[in-house]
Amino acid sequence: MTETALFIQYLLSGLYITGKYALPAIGLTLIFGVMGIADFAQGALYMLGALFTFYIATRFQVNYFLALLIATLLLVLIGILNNSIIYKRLRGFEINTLIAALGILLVIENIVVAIFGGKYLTVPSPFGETKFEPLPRVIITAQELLIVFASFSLIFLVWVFLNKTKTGKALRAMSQDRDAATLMGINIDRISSVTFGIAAGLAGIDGALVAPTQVILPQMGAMVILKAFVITVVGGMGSIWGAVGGAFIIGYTEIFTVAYLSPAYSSFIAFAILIVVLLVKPEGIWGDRT
Amino acid sequence: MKLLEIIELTKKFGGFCALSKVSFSVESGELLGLVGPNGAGKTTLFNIVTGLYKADEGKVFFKEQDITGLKFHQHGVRGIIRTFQLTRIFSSLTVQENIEIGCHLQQKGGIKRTLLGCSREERAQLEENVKGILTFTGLMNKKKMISKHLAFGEQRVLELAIALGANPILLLLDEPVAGMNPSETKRFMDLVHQIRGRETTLVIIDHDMPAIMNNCSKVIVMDHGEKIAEGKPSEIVENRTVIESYLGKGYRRA
Amino acid sequence: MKRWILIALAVAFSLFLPFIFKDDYYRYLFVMMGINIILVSSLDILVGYTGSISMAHAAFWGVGAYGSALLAIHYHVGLIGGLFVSIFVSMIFGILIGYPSLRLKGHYFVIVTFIFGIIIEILLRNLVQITRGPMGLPGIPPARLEIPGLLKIVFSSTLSYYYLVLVFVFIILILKVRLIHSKMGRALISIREDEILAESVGVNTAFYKVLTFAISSSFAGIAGTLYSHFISFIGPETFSFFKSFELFVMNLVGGKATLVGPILGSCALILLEEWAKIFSPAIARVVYGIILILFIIYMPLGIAGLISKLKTKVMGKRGHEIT
Repeated sequence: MTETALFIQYLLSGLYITGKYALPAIGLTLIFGVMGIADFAQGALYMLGALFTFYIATRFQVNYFLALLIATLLLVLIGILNNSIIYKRLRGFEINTLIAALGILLVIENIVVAIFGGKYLTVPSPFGETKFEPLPRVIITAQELLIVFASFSLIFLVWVFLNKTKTGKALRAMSQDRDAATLMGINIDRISSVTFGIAAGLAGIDGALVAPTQVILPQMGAMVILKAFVITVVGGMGSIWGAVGGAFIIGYTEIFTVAYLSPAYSSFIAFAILIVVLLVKPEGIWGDRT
Repeated sequence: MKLLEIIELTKKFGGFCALSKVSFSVESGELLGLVGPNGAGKTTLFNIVTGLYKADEGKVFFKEQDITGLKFHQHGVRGIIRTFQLTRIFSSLTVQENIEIGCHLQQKGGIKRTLLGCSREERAQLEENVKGILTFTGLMNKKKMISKHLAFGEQRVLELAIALGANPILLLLDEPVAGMNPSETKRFMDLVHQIRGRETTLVIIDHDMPAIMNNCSKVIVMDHGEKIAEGKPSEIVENRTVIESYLGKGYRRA
Repeated sequence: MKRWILIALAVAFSLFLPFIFKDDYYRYLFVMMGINIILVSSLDILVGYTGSISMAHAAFWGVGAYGSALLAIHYHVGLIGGLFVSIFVSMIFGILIGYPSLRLKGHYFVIVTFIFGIIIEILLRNLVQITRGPMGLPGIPPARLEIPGLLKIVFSSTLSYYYLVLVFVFIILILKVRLIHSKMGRALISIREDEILAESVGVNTAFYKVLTFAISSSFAGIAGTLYSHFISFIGPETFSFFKSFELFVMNLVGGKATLVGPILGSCALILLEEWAKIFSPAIARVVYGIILILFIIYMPLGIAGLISKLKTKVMGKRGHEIT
């Protein structure tokens, strides 16, 4: 009996882990598809999402949800600034942008280390210790449930945006063929701001949502962005479904490895999947063969 | 001898059929013109023949050997060299360096030579080859110039020069004179004739009708992925299907 | 003629350097610079000449370091044996990683090498039975160059390591020069400039890319052997992704695809690191990151590139791009 309960527990927990990874993966794949940039700095934005939420909520005694909102807006701003100050100057040299993104990640992560050092930062969940027990011995906390609902709603919203709005369609056009899209009069600057803004927003909200479930560390961004990259490569760079599908694969792989094997191996299995995909279908499971 | 033989080549991109059962052959020593409206599949054909794309169906034979599945660079090794529709040169390098790279296959490599350098004769040989091509193409006085600073027409000639470095048996030129004025075109086609005289077989894609019709020994016309005509230039201009494909139905030769 | 004089001066300078600055601290710095010059020069062969950016270089360094360290500790293998093994092992890893990765384009290649680098770091950290994991590997004996019956040199002083490393610095610099002027060198540059055009004239790009990866990783392995004997205690953190990144920054700042670039970059950034030790490592990394961003936007050709440009302006030479 306990075995089944445990298994269902993992299935349930896997949902929120998938959601947690899907958001930054979508951001990455969006930026890569539309702008051709592998933006590692998204990891820093995720971490800042958590950090800002912590700081605003604790320092200014503000409600968690309000802190989340403010943090997200700040991050959207930072994401757009990254682009206009740095990436824009490297247009045409996309590999250099990848390096610059790594640089930004490094700088932000270490500024945080320098300021907050080894301090133990936590944000209490607005739901406190509330848990739900849908089945005996199968538990999900209110915060984790929130993560599931929020992330999947956001995924849906992104889908609606890309398919039903004019700007969204312009983004998809740019992702297909950048030159053709520009010739059609699509404004690159505006589109790039929108793209980076959305990605930063997703990363920021994700960080804010995850903040109450763990200790906030400066390095949390790097680990997540690495997983997010594996997800986008496995799923297919530039494909939203690839990001979501990849998140499911990597998310569930992670939870089952941690559960049934050992935590040390969870990264390995993810990397192994990556290598297999690269050898068999390098453009990703849902990717397009160019 | 049939130098190149293409048998029922077919290529689809998703639902779009770029090439549909195209077959023809090229005799040794010919100067073949490949024409057709934009989107006819000419460049796709080149790409498949030279191994950049994989055909969905059909085969390619070179010197009576099946080369259908070979990798791109292996074609160069066999003497099949191509140029590209949009000018492709090593723009940050000098003209001389460009041609030296073209001569890659003619040089001997290996560990000893990499570490200790080539023998004097080998170095002289490379210089000779490069000099020969520079003189032949008229780029000698610009050999130290960074190639992106060359005029457009000269860049096109440089492209040809790079290809010549590889000692091609079969040379495929993709729209080589596009964008050139008449005198540049004439000079270029003169070079092409001289190359043909040195026993290189050539296939040229272009839209410049006078250039093709006045120079080629045989012309193949494509439209919508199919071969619609094949023959001597004089036969092609009279061909009704060809006229219709270029001008649409309803036009008649005046 | 002028060039030979400059080279002779540079060689003489490097030979006498540890006597100009006699303090052991300086000599230690020089050895570290030398090791980094070997690392960055070998990285440059890959990055600067084929245009493939690898973020796994420090991992090869680590593989070489751990490999020869373990052999020296458990089997008392001397310097020659250690070098053989580290070259061999790093080369194998290089080919294993290079071969699948090099079929990938641009970004994917960088990301995959980055991930491979992390995998190797995780392995070094977790195979505690072999590597002692995060506790590190102490007690690596000094390098012992032994040809039975002929000679036996034990490298124990910092000064001796300086000259040992210097020998290998000369080796890689000479190799680089010969490479650039060879058929292979031209092929590598053609791959960097336009891979498809290169293939169209018969350059076997896949072969050259894997070969270059193998060469570059084997030199990283050599640097690993030298480092582990010198420092006598190694830990997995040294060979992290950040170090790979650092090596890339040194290459960029110094100047890619040049002979002096890696030398300038290594020395400059090692000095910077020493200076930044006054503050915290975090601040040092912030400075690194900012330098990287500034250079990549405003000076992508690095210091050497800047010098080159100035020379052209001043002396009006028509650029000979290949060196």
